[in-house]
Order: sequence, then structure tokens, then C-alpha cells
Amino acid sequence: MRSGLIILFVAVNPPAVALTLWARVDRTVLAAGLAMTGALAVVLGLLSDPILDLLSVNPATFRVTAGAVLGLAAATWLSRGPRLLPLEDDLVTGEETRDAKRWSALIVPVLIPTLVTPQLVAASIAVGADEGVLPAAVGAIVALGLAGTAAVLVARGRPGVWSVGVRLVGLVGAVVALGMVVDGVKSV
Amino acid sequence: MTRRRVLLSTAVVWLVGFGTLRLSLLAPESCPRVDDDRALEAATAAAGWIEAGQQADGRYLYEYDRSDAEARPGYNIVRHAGVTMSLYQLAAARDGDDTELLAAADTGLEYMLDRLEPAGDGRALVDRGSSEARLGAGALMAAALAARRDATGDPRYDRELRALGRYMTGQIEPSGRALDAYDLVEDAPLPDQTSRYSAGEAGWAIARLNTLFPDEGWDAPARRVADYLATARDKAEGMDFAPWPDQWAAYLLSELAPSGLNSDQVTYARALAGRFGMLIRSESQKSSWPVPVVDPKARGAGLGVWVEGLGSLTRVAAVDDRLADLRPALEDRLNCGAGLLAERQVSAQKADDYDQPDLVQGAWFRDGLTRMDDQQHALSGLLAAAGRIGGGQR
Repeated sequence: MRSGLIILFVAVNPPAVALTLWARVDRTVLAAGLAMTGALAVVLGLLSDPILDLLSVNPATFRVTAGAVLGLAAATWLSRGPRLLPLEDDLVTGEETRDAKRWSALIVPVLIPTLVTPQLVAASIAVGADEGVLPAAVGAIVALGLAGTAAVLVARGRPGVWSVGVRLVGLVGAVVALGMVVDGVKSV
Repeated sequence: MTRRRVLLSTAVVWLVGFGTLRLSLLAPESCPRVDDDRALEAATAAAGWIEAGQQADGRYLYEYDRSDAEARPGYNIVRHAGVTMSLYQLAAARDGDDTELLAAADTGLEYMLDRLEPAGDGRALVDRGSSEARLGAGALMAAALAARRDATGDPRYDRELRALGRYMTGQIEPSGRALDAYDLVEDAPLPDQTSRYSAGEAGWAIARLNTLFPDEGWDAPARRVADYLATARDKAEGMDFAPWPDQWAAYLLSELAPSGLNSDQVTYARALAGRFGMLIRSESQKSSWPVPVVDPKARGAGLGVWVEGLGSLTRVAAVDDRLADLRPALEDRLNCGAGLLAERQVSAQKADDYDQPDLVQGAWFRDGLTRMDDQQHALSGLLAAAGRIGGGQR
């Protein structure tokens, strides 16, 4: 359970989510995005065995892959810090109504490319296959909950501090990713 | 940037990333399934290749190039002993009812009996003209004699078996380190010369002696070797990426397991299981790689060794509950490895495409070449997968 929580925490990287989204979407849309992403993580954890069967790989092999994907994300956070997206206004066309414009942010940039990431998908499947759906669900809910909280709190802090947080989680993510690869390689 | 462009670029990253992984780390694992009968059939076909190439003096065909239908020069007495052992293992699996197989193995045994020389307190298997006895040769000859006893119940060679045991025990230092060579001129072991293979081979052979003759004190040296392999060998002998995938050590652990392993040995067994499991997993992915990412498909000997190791560790896990969590994965990987072996073995039908089908059928080739230990290790591995080595059915 503990490793599942850590893996999903670093896969989400709550400070990175907060810094990317806090000024671009309203809280309702963000909450909807977090809920949908959490549901996706639970479903992926629940379906991890059929997914691995479909891919014809066993959990140890997938753990190595998930570790590699997470390691790539961690290296990006460490080297570049949080992802900076164009302003929301640039992402929508002028023809959209005000309400539609607000909700259009749910797809881009909330779900894609911020919340539903390769590392979150890989981590949810890996944790589901290795530890079961419960740790995957709890890990995703906690990590996404922290991301939502951070998105609210980020306005009160200094961006520089949050940026350090992104890199710090990235550093932990790199260690966790390396651990997943080594563990996968050493597994039967 | 428009939303459409964000979606498009994200889709490209996902597709390219998934595609790259699917052709490398996440390539499908292809594991043909084999049942015990099919594994035994493939092992019998491997023995057929060995028998077909055997010469009148007991030697086997050493290396064969099917492209030009020519035997390659060279011979190795350690491998001779190993091949003979594998034939006796198959004979034991078939309850000793295959007289042709036993005759071939006995002819190979005669070749070794003619080359036994006094060494230390016992006797060693020595190549003609050599002034040194290699530990591995004596160890695998002892293992062959033990397997012969399993197959026939015949105690005729117990004297030689014990003499080999005394020689091997003399090569084991108090630490459990095994000295690889005995100087027949100086009449003493060569100091500080070790081999990554012979320590496990000797430990296992001595453990086999202990199983056959339980009241003769063979247990202690076998366990000393097991402790050394489990705790010190990889570091002391400079093995990178421990544990070195030592199937002989796995045989040794499986022989000792029914009478109990200590915690270091169990930890070592777990680490070995992981190593062999990873090797089989990556081997099963290789047919899906567009280019050989790590190395080309393993030789029959390499793949056979891994399957032998997994077979031994499956037997360890079956009797030691501290490894109970590994049982399903070990069974799975063992069957996968055996399936790969059976799939890659040259069938009678394919062998007909070559000038000498008898020297192609039942063998494993890489780059057109096969060597007798390809068949030896694959045969033993298939028997392990069929549950026909060391204590009957799984």
C-alpha cells in the first residue's frame, strides 16, 4: 500500500499540477477534472490484469516500463521545472460562449496534458497489477486531492517555492522510478 | 497554440512513446505452452542428436555446422561429462527402460572411466596428457554416476563415485571456496584458481553423494559451498551484477532444500530466481524486437541453463515455504522457457532440408552452429520443466 501511494504521488506531482493550472481554470472545472482523472486511475487499477493480458506482458515487465516512463517525467521536472502552458485564452476560439469556454478547459489543459499523463496511466496500471486496486485508488485519490489543494493554495505562496517543490517531487520520482526498474528487473 | 494543436501534439507524444515502448521494454512476451509429455518428447529428440553423433570411443559430436554439413574441431572433457550426465538424467526420467539411451550413456561413461587419475584422497577425471585435473570434469562425472544410479539402481560404480567425492572435497577450502584445478605433478590443488562454473558443479555433486550415502559426511562440504556461493562468491570472484545466474548453484540448493536451507541460502535462491526469471522474460520478448536490443536470441545452452536454474528453484520453492510467494511465477517462467526451447528445436521435418538430417534434428542452432552442450542444457532444462529431475513430479 505504501509504495503504491508514493508511486502515484510522484506520478501526479501535485505542485506541478498546481502551478500549471491554478490561474487558468476555475475550481469547479478543476474539481471535475480531478474527479475524472481519479476515476480513470481507479478503472485502470481495476483493469490492470486484463490490460497486461492484452499486452502479453507480466507485472514485473510492466513495472520496468512504468519505471522508465516515470523516470522520464521525473527527469523533465528536474531539468525544466513545472510545465508552462499558453494562457487559457489562447487555447480557445472566440466563437465559444463564456460558459462553454470555461468548461472547454476541462479537456485542454486540465485533463490533457496536465492530469491524464503517461506516467499516471502507467503508474495506475503498475500499482493495480502489483498491489491491487485499493492502493491504486487510494494513491490516486490522495495524490489528486493534494494536487487540488495545492492549486488552491498556490496563489498564496511564492511561485519560486512551488517550483522548488516540483523539482523536489521530481527528485523523489526519479528515485522511485529507479526503484521500480530495479525491482522489476530483479523479479521472477 | 490552439486547443487542437495541444491535443494533436499530445496524441503524437502518446503514440510515439507507446510505440517505442512496445518495440522494446513493453514488447509482448511470447511463451509457447508445453505440457510434460511435449517437454519429454523434445528432451528425447535432443538425446537423439547426441546419440546420432556419438563415436565408437564414446566421444560425442562436439560442434557441428549445418550450413556446410561439417563437424568443427575441438573437444572438452568437462562438457563430455555434462552431456553424459544429461543422458542419464533422461534415462532416469524414462525409468531406465530405454536401453539404447543407456547404452549411449554407458559408452560415454567408459570414455571417462578410462581417464580417471589419482588426485588427492580420491580420483579425478583428467584429459589425456594433461597435468591438471579440472574440478568441473570430476564434478559432472560424479553427477553423471549419481544420475546413472537413479536410472538403473545399479551400485556398480559407487567406488568411483566416492573417489570422485573425496577428490572434490579436497578442493573445497574451509570458507567453502572451491579450487578449480589439481596439479597432478605436484600432487596438490593449485592455489587461488577458481571457476565460476565448477564451484556449483562440485557443491551439487557432493550434495548428490550426500543424498545417496547420507551417513558418510558429505553434507558439511556441500553446505560450505552453498554458504560461500550464497554470501561471498559473487563479490570475492568479481562477478558483475550479482547474483551471477549459476544454475549449478540452483541444483545444489534444490538438493539441499529437503533437509533445510539457512536464511542466506533462501535469500540467494530468491535472488537467483529473479535473475533467471528476468532472463526468460526478456528472451520471450526478443521475437517482438525489430532489432536485437540487447543481444540476439540465446543459444540452446544459454536458454537451457536458465530453464535448468528455474527448474531447480521451483523444486526449492516447493519444499521451502519461505519462497512460497514465488511458486506461481517460477512455474510460469519455467514453462515459458521450456516452451521457447521446444519451439526453437529443429524438427524432423525441417532437418530434412539439410545434408545430414540426423545431425540437425533435435538440436538448437545459432548462426548455423550447434555444440553438444546446447543439447545437454536444453535437455536437462526440458526435463526440469517436465518435473522429471530431482524428486519426481512437481
